[in-house]
Amino acid sequence: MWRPAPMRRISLLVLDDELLSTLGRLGELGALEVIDAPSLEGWPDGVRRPDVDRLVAEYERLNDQLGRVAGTLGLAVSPEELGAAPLAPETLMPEIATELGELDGELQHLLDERSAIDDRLERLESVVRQLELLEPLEVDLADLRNLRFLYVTAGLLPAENLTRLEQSLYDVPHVLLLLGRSDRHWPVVVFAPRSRQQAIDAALRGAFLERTEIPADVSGAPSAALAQVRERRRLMLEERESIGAKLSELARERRPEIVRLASFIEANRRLVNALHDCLTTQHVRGIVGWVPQAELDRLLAGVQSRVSTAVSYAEGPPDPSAGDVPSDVPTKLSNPSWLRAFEPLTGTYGLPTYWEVDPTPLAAVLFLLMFGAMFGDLGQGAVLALLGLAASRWSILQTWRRLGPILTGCGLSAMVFGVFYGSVFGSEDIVPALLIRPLEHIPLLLGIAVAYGVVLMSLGFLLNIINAHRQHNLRAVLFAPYGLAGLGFYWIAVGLAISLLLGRVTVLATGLVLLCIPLLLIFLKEPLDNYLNGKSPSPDEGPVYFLQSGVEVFDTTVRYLSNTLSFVRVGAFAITHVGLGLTVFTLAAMLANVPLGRPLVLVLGNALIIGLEGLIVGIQALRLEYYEFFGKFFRGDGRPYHPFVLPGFVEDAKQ
Amino acid sequence: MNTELFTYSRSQAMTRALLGYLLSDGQIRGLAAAEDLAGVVRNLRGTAYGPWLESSEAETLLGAERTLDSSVVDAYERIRDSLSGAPQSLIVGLARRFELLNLLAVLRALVRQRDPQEAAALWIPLGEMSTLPREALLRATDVFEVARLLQGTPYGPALHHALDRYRQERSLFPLEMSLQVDYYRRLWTLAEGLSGQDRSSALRLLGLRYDLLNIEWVIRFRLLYHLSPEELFNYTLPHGRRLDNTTLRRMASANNLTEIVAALPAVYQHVLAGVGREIDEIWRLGVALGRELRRAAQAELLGYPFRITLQIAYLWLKETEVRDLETILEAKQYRRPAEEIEPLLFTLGG
Repeated sequence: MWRPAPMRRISLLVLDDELLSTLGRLGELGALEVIDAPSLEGWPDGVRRPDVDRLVAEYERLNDQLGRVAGTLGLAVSPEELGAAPLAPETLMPEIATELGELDGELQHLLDERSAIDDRLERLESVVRQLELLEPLEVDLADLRNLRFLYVTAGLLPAENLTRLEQSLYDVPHVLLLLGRSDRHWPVVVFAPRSRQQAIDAALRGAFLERTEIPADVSGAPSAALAQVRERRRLMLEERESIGAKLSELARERRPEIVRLASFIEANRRLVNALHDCLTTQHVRGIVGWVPQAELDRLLAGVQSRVSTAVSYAEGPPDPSAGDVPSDVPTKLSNPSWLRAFEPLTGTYGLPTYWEVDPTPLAAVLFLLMFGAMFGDLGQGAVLALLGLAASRWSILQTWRRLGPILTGCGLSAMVFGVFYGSVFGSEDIVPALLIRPLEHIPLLLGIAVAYGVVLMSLGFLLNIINAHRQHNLRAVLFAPYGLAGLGFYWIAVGLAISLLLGRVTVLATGLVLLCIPLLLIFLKEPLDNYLNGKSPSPDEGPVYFLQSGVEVFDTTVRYLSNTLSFVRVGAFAITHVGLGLTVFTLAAMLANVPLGRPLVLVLGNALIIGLEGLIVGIQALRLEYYEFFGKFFRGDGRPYHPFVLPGFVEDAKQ
Repeated sequence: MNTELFTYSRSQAMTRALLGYLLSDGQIRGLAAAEDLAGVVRNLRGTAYGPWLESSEAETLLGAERTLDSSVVDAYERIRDSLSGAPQSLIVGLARRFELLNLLAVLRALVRQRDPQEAAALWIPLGEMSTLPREALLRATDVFEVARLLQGTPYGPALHHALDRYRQERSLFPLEMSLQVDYYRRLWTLAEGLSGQDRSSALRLLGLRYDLLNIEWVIRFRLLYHLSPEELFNYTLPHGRRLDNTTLRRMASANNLTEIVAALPAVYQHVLAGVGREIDEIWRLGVALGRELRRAAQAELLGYPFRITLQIAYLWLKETEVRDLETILEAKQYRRPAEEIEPLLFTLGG
């Protein structure tokens, strides 16, 4: 629970023709994270990466293509729908490519048809607009087409080119009519003297006008022509609708095929990616990966049951004392199920590295404690707890389902503190306070908050020392600002502060001398570390080191103080919470004579406190936890454990 | 002003540091005087470009050019990462000019029915700043397929607008102009997204670049392609710094280089003073305009430091420097002497 699951690195050697079946079995077991073995150093000559780059690229392409096809058809294939699939990347690839290509071709054909209709419709729309313009005229279109002195042309002008076109025709007499605007175009009609036709045509060409003159087979008076064109438009719209229906039908009919193809592609894509990370020699293939220690036996037995000739070698657990701390060990958290709900609290900050303490249990307890202390109210806590339960059971949003248990925990904690404070929906008259009434004991409450901060800070120091010790980092254990020296300084400073508060001024001089010892250790951490390692004590940076170290020591001491005082807010928010409740009750009393005034204010006021203050308190608790607590010991740049698992099988992490 | 200080302090420090890595005139002259391509690469390895040119791939002309292009993209990425918000978007917008060049290389290969691998060899990888589906584009069999692939990207509408003309003319020109004009319009919009003095400074500097582009385009389109004034005007960029519509119209209506230059404001006439008035002298035009761009960028380095113009100026200096290095590499491939190369360079004689 306190540390990530122990991992072991294993190597599997199999014969060339058994590599696929071994990987297939590993994918079924879902417990091995395959390492990019060829990138590791120290392999003898002749050991290389299998030549599968082409397959990797092809399966990525097929995956993209399938995603595009499914997306265009409005189909979403969820990971749960993917089933087990045959594993033969080389032989299956052409079949999949052909089948998918045919489906894509069919889809593309319909899309092209629809796109062509859209273009034609847009042009026809422009013609409709032109005819609507001419509708009042009692002339024949044939006469209009053969005007001797007037040049008339029409088309679709890219909307962004309009201004430049008008400017280019500055010296050319013309009339440019805009006939309403579509998404991308202005349908326009241009009139100009026939003598300037060449200039007009050149300018329109430069402005990328698509000509949409009235079709030659549309004749008669404009009103009659308009009816003909509108009829054409209606037919075209019908055609477009029928293509839409065909697309829907295609999506419905081919969905099973798409799901099957998705399973085939995803299984073989994952397989070739795993293959890419294997080692190869003339006859033997090697797979290297991380497996949780608890899964090691199951994994090896599982492989042996399928590939009896496989040779395996499991290295001992990663050992930082052997040299540099291996940084590539993946992290798999191993919290009991009730605690997993609180993993997002840690996860939002970062994932612990393999060598770090997993702070999730502490994070859960401390967060709930702080939330409850700041939001102590039996009634409002109960509402939050019920909301949390409802969210975790019935919310359609995954995020809310995940946050539900945390919300419930916050509510329960608020209820407990509500009993301590004697507060129910902001009223302090319903139940007696079991411990303390915040508004009546403000200094005591703030003192408790600071004491809580001291405990939390000390915990942070201790966890940092444990983390450093696990990585065999003696310098960090002894001399780091949050190591033993820092802890010593912090406790002496706290002791000194308490003594002074109790009026024992005589200890001041002794205390100040004692304070200097850990500070000196922090200040001289590099020379001391060099000395302990048998090197020359002088720091690498020379005299600059002492300047930097001096600033660091000053900064650290200021930070100890500010971090500790930060916890005052826990008490301050508890007081504010009671104050807000009091305000609501005062407002309700003022509206006692207004019908429904009092209950309305009480309900709305409480809702506001639950919603707004609940959010603020949550953020403050998280801020204290991350900044004042995690910041002392937690780096959070771990790498998540991603086992190789084939579609249709459950990965070890989710079992 | 205080806001600018916070926005640009980190980026300003980095840009100043990067400026220190630009080559001096002496180094450029030394490279131009190298014996051959291998000599240039060898000399470059002793400069800030050394880490870029370590691999043996850089010993071929194409390999060296792509490596140098990568160093420009790297400069864009560094500046981009040092900024946020609207200034960052503008830098990404400027970098996307390389994406436009990639797209034009693909279209050129398709229109001229050449091997798509030619475009692949010229492709400048823009990393996460890219919006183009590279592999699919290189597999495309015609311009219409490219248009389909670009639907939903910033280039989709502009290419779509030019397809009608491409159908009729089967020429790269309408595609190229539609995409170029659209790119510079979008870039201007990004600069307009800045605020206060930052905005006006950026627009002033971009306006100068648009002026230089307009001069180059009008001269090319009018004198080499013989386009009509009305058509040509549509291919010019609005928002220039000194070239207003009246000037552009006068330039577009001119019949020879002398008339075009006469239509220009005095400051640009001075820029083109060294360019002969005969059509075979037109190659000097690009050099004169490139040198003017560098001069403007260098002047910007002396101004108020906490503005985006410092970053833009550095990037232009870097781009033109790499362009010159590529010119030297190409010339040295054919062992041309320094005195033939130097007049072609932007970095010298500015």
